[in-house]
Amino acid sequence: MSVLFYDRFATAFSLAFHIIFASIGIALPAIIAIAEYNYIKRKDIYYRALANRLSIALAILFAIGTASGTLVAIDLLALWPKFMSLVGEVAILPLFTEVFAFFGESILLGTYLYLRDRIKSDTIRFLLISGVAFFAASSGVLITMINAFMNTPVGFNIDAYLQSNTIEAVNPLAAFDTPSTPIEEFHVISTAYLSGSIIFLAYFAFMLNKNRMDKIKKQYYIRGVKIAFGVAFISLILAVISGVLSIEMLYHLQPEKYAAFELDIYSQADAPEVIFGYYNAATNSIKDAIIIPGLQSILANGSVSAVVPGLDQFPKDTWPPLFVHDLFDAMVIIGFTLASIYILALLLIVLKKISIDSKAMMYISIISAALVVSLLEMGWVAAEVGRQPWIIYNVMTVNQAANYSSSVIPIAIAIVVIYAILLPFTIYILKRVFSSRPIEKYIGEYR
Amino acid sequence: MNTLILINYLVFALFLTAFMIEIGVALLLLIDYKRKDKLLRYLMPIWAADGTFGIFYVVDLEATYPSAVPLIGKLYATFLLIAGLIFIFRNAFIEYAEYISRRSSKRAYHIVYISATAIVTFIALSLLASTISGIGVDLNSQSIDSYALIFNPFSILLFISGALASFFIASTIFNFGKVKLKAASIALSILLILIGFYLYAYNIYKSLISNPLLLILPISIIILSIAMQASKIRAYSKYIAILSLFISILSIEIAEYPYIFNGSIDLNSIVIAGSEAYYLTIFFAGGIILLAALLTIMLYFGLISRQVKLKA
Repeated sequence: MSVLFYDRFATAFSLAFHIIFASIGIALPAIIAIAEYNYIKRKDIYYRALANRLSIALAILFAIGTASGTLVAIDLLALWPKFMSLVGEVAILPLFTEVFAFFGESILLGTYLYLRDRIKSDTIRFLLISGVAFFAASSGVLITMINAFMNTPVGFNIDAYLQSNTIEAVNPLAAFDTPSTPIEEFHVISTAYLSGSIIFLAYFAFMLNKNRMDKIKKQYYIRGVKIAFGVAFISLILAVISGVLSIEMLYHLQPEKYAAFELDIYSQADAPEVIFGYYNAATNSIKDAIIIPGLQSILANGSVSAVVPGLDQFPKDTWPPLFVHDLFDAMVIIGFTLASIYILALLLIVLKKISIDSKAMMYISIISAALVVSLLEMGWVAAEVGRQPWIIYNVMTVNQAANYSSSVIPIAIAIVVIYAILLPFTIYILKRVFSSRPIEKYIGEYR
Repeated sequence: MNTLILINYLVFALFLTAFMIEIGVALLLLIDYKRKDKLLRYLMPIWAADGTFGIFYVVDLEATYPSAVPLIGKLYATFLLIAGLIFIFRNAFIEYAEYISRRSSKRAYHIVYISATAIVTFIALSLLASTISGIGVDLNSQSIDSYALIFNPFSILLFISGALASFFIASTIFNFGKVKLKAASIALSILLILIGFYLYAYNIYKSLISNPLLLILPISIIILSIAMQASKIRAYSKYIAILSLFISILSIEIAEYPYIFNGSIDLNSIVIAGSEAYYLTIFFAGGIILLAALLTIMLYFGLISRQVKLKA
């Protein structure tokens, strides 16, 4: 295997691990802030217990999330130096600003966690954790701007760069608002809230069912389910909307990626929706797919006569790997199925046909958490692989950006090994930490 | 001096000051584990911000010298990735230790944290030493000799000097040990670093000697901090000691200006210019104001906690 493979592998593995922690890091402070707010509003000690116990999980997960984020930053510098060099020349300001958002998150979290016993005001506690939530989301927004720049680069004379490798007419502020930035932000942040909250929804729903005969624990977990369900439900709807908008955006801004996602070999009007299937290079055709005539043109631009881009418009050596089509179809199906199930569940809860502590809710929550985490990973793989062979679309290929030093190979392997140990160990630590801090102790202290 | 280079120096001085204080606290934790409650009361709120200073420096480096990023990646990829991986252990184990209730596990996790922090610092100081002295680096072939880069006398001198300075700072902050011991540790630290510069980075040594302000100012502040420790106002000596560390690091950087790799590369030839430089300066100023406000909030609640404790 080539060094390039290890460069890709190390980055992909680091990112796959980091996005789970980053999503939790964005959603969890918001959940804790809602619990703190409910405590202020209702003086309900279960919410205070919820905020305090969840803040322990936040402390541990934040520690690993920041370290995995640092490793991703180092990956970019060490494994893709030419890419970071160009980003440094023209689009570094969002990343530079993100550092201050990160400071905000670290400092306010440190204050909230370790100095809070001395802070008498509940409102200040609420403001501190809300500040953490704000800066965590801001970090996500700012780092996504770099990804948007990779998809739709702006802020310098691209023609001059391609012709003579010179960087001219730099507008450093342009990286804050590339053509794909608004939709990409919308999608990344909504899915971060969704995946972060749904993991805790599954945990609370499971624990609620396990402890439904215990009055104190039931009261505690039911509040957790309510908050996590609320955040997950709203973000799920927003994630579906932003997902649809993202496809429209690809149609206009990244037609090659769009064509690969939809497995459009030819550019055509009255384009069918191709569900699954594969591309047969020998016959230059699609095999074993479910075909719905005309649907894609309607979905893409509201009319059967709308022309959709095909891969035939692009040189074959710039086609991304076409398995992204299967990932895309799986994401769409899972996303819409989840949204339908949650709308149905909410309806049944409102109509009192099922209760929030029912077994049905527990199963829905656990299965949907597993699906959403898979969706999160699939989404990133599709987004990144769908841009291949480019690291910066139509500007720099992955091959051009890579570090070809063979010394990265053992490190790439070490990254896998360390994460493989760290993830289960962290879950084990969390389990031990929570079992040594029973809910009853918190409730007893606050009474 | 170019504004962006000065900013990069300031960021580095902030980062190294924060990290050396943390290393000092970790050292004290290792020497006297019984005092862990007092030490951790200081360390826990700030360890995450300490790490963020490291990221700040890396991003500022990419922003200030983007054309040098391929060279940095090529030379230091392995070390940076190893440091990044070990950094995960630092972060994870300090939090595991904080919340785990079993005492023996707590201590073991603290030792993992201390070891990880020490290794990351050792790597960081080795890389720093190589950019100062150029030992172990062949700029013509853009390659390094890893063994020579780490295990060379200058790198080891710098590490020992750094450890002594860290001990001085942390023991001053926590009022640990006798004043004579602290004075001896910082004096030895200064002596070792000067010997290191004289032997392996003579241009820095020459600059320090020929520009007395760069040497006299930090040493005067260090002496002031030691004198305060032996006086009635010793409670404030820790702030002066922290300032002295920051000024010392900055002075060395200014003495090295404008070169790195023992005079081989002129920073002015690789620093970014134009509109990116202008906006970077403005964003830095805005960010520092935000950072100062955030640290003030933390300090305010930290001082409140102290007052509450004193009243109790």
